[in-house]
Amino acid sequence: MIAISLSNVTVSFGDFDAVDDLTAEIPAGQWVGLIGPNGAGKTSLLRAVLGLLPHSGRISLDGTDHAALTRRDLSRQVALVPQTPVCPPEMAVADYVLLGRTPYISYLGTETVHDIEVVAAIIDRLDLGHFVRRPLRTLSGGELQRVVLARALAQQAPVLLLDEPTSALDVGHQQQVLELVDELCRHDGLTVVAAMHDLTLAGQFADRLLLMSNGRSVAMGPPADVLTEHTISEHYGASVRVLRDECGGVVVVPTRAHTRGSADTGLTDDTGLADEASADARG
Amino acid sequence: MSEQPTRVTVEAIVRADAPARPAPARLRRRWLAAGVASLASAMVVAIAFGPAGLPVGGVISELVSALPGIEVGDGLSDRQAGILWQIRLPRIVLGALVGGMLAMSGAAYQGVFRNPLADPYLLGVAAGAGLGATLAIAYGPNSTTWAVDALPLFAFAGAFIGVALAWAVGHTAGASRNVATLILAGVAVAAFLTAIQTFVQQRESDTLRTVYGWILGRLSTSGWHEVLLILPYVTISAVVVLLHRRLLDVLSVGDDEAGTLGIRTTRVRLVVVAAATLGTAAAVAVSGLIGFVGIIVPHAVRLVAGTSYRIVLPLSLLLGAAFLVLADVAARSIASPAELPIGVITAFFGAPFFAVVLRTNRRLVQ
Ligand SMILES: Nc1ncnc2c1ncn2[C@@H]1O[C@H](COP(=O)(O)OP(=O)(O)OP(=O)(O)O)[C@@H](O)[C@H]1O
Ligand SMILES: [Mg+2]
Repeated sequence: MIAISLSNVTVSFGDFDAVDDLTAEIPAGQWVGLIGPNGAGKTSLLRAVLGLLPHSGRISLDGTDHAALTRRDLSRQVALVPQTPVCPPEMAVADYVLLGRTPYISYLGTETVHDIEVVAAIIDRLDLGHFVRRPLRTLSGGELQRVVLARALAQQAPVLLLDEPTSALDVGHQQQVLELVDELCRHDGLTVVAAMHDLTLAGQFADRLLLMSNGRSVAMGPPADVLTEHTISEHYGASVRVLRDECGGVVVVPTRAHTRGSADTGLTDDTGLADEASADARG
Repeated sequence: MSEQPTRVTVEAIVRADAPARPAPARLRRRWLAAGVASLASAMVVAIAFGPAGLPVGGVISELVSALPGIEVGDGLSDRQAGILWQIRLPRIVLGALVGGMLAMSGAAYQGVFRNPLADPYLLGVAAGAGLGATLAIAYGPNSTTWAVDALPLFAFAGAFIGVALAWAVGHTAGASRNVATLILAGVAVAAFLTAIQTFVQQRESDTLRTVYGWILGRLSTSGWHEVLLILPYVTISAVVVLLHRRLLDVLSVGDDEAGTLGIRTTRVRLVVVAAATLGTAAAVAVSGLIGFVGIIVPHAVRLVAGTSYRIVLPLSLLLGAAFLVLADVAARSIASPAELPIGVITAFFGAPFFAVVLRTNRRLVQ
C-alpha cells in the first residue's frame, strides 16, 4: 500500500525550482525521514503535499489524485506539525487541540460531543491533562510541541507530516516526542513523514530515509544505506564519521578535520579520515 | 474575573475527561448576561437623560404598555410620549446599532487580518465614505427637493467603492497570500480618496463645516427613518460575522495552518470582510466617522473576558452598543443645549477608560 505517491513533482518559486522533478513513494504505515541540507526543499515538498503550494507533476494520496481532493478532504488525509507553529498566545490548550477537529466540523458548525471526546482521548494519551486550561503562552517549548502534535493527531488523518518536530527540544524531550510518534506509527498504522536535521535521530526512528539535495531526491532507502560518510559529505558539505551502535543503528558524529594546534594548516584530506573512520567502525 | 479563558469547550473537555466532576460554572453565560445588562442599563440612562426630563415610572409603564397584550395605563402625557417614541428612542436605538456594528466589525477585521490595530475603517472604508459624503454635501441634490437624503447613500456607496478598490489593488499585487499587502493597498487607496476629498472640500469651502461635522460623527435622527434605513444591513452583517466566530479562531493560527485544517482562508476572509464592511458602511452612512469604538471595545473585551472570537464578537456587539449609547448621552448633555460631536466623546472618554482596563488587567501584556 502506497500512502503518498509523488511523480515528477516540481515546486517553483519564479524560475527557481525548490523541488525539482522529484519522484518517490511513501509506503503506508512506515516512517520516512526526510533529510537534506538547509534549503534542500523539504518544507516546500511537505507544503506541496498539503496543497499549500502549487506544483506540477502528480501527487496522489492513498491512490487518489491530489487534484481531485477538496481542501477539507485533504485535511482529513494529511495532518501537519509545522516547523514554526503559529500559536495564539491566549488560546487555551484544549481549544487549540480542538482546532484539529476543524476538518470534521461543517463550515458554520461547532464541535460535537464526539469531537470533544476525541480530543479528550488525545489529551489523555499525550498526557496533557493537567494543562488543558492553560493559555499557550505559558507552556514551555517541549510542552508546546506536544500540544501542536496533539492538534495534528486530532485531525485523525492517516498521514502525519512533521517538519523539524524536535528542533526546539532537549535530548530527553526529543526522544519523548519521537517515541510517541513511533508508537502511533507502529500501533495505529500512521504513515509518518518527518523532516529532520539530526541525522542520528532520523536514522534511529525512520524505516527509510529520503535524502533531498537542491530539490532533487538523491537517495532513498534504509538509514544504513543512505547515511554514508560519502553522501553526507557530498550533500551537506560536512565531515562526519558514521558509526554503528550495538543495535545496528547508525550514529553520525561530526568531526573536525584538524586540531586547534594545527588550525593554520587549513583543511586536511577529510575523505581519507572518513575512510579510516568507517574502517574503524566496521572493523 | 477569570484568570482562564472562558470557552465552554474547555469545561466540556474537563468534563469528558473526568465525568465524575461536577460541571464548573459556565463563565460564558455570565459574560453574556453582563453584556445584555450593560446595554439595558445604558439604554435606561439614555432614556432618562435629556433636555425634557421624562418621569422614569411613566417611561416604564409606557414601554410595558407597548408590548402586545399588556395595558398598564398611560404614564406619560402625549407630548412626553412623543418625545420618547419619536426623538429619544430612535436615537438610542440608532446609537446601539452603530456602536455595536462598529465594535463587532472592528473585532472581525482584527481577526481576519490578525492585526490588533485593524479597525472597521481599514481598507479605505472611511476615506471612501468621507469622499462620498463630501460629494453629497458639495454637489448632491438638495435634501428638500429629493425624496431621500442623498448623504447616507453617497457615503455608503463611497465606503464600498473604497474597499472594492483596495481589494482590487491588493489582489493585483498578490495579496491573496499576504494580508499585509491588502492592508497596504488599503492605505494607498485611502490616501488617494482622501486627496480627492480634501480637494473637493477646499474648492467648495462653504461646505467645510458640514463636512467636518459629518467626519467627527453625529447621531441625529428624524424619527425612525435612519434606524430602518440601516437595520437590514446591520442585521445581515451581524448574523454573517457571528456565524464565522469559530472560523476566526481557526484563522488565528495563520493562513497556512488554517489551510491544513481544511479552511479556505481566502474565502473566509472575503466573506467576513464583505459582511463587516456592509455593516460599517451602513453605520457610517448615518453616523459619520465615529472613531475608536472599533478598536477599544474589542480589546477591552479581550482583556476582561477572553480572546476567543466566540466571546469577543458577541460581547463587542453588546458592549459597543452600550458604549456608544452612553457616549451619546455625554455628547448631548455636556455642553447642553449644544451637542458635541460623538466622535470627540468616544475618544475623550474611551482612551482613558481603555488605559484603565490595560492597567488593571495585564493579562494580555506580555
Ligand atoms: N516563498 C518562497 N519564495 C521563494 N523562494 C522560496 C520560498 N520558499 C522557499 N523558497 C526557497 O526554496 C528553497 C527550499 O526551501 P525549503 O524551505 O523547502 O527548504 P528546507 O529543506 O525546508 O530547508 P530547512 O532545512 O532550512 O528548513 C530555499 O532555497 C528557499 O529559499
Ligand atoms: Mg524547512
